[in-house]
Amino acid sequence: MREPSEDELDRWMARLAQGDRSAFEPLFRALHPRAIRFARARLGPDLAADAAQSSMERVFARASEFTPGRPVLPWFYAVVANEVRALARRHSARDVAALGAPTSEWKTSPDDPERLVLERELYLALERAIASLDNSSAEVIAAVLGRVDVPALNAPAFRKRVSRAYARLRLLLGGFDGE
Amino acid sequence: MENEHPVGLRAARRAYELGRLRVSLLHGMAGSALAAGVAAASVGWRALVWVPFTLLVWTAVEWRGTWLMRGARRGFWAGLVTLLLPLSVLRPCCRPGMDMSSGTCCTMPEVCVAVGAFVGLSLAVLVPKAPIGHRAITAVGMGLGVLSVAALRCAPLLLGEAAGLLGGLLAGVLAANIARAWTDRQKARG
Repeated sequence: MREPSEDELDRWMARLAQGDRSAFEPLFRALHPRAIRFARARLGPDLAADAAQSSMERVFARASEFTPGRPVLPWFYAVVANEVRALARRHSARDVAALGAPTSEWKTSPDDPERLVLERELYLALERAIASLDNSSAEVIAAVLGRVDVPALNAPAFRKRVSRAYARLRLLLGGFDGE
Repeated sequence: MENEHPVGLRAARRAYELGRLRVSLLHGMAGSALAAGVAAASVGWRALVWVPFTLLVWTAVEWRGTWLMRGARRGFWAGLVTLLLPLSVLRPCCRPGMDMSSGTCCTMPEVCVAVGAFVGLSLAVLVPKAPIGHRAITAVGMGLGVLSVAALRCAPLLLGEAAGLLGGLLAGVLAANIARAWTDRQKARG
């Protein structure tokens, strides 16, 4: 089956946010493997299925709050990351030894094909999220990432702009504490 | 295949419907509060007995979504217009201060029909440009939207007047939607 493009995913989510249930199943089928991939890379295979399922329920529970016209994947990964982190925290509290390393670490090797695909998609999703910000915020975030020179501002003014840009990015990600 | 999970799909669908219901309830409460505020100011407190009906309709159309919701949102504004109609317009043969029981005051349901039809027809400018297969549901949405708010106006009216106003509104909304469909078809033909 053909992999839907990001534009198609955006359209499906916009339709679902408006109550068009015909977009539900194709969207679920397109997003579920992504949630599995993310959860497997962050938590390992044992917890991946549960984390992916609870992430999908969280995503669809909040689908009606999605703002049509915004890119869906940054929002989606923000929800999934939040859910995966919460699940990891619960499990690590219950059994630190079984879970092992801290939750922010990857559970797969750097050259794992699934991880490479995921990293590329996360990178593109973040790029899309930054691109949909206003010019001033996008410029400040690019400066923080070291891609462009820091604007000619004094330090407190720059910090204020960075804080405002992050707040806008967080809002775009649906108010989640996304990575 | 890893994405073939009927149980997971059903659970996600349930989560979607519950989430949608929660958002719909919030939207319904916001819309009903606005309509209730306008009704209390223009019609009086007794209009508020119909607010649960407005809330029920709004929650239902917001939950259903798509063209029903879009139509209802347009109809909502026309419904608000009916709340601002003075009683002297709906009951022209009855001057302010006159008592219905005195025998010198009359009702004119036909005026309510005419006023309702006029407001309903004026909705022609608000009819959303729905695809051909969705026009009927859009018209139903507009009808529900306008009725859910106009019902608050009916509290001080007599039965015939209320039926006339609501019937006129529905007829006007229907005629506006038919007219819009006809003009769209003419434009498409060239």
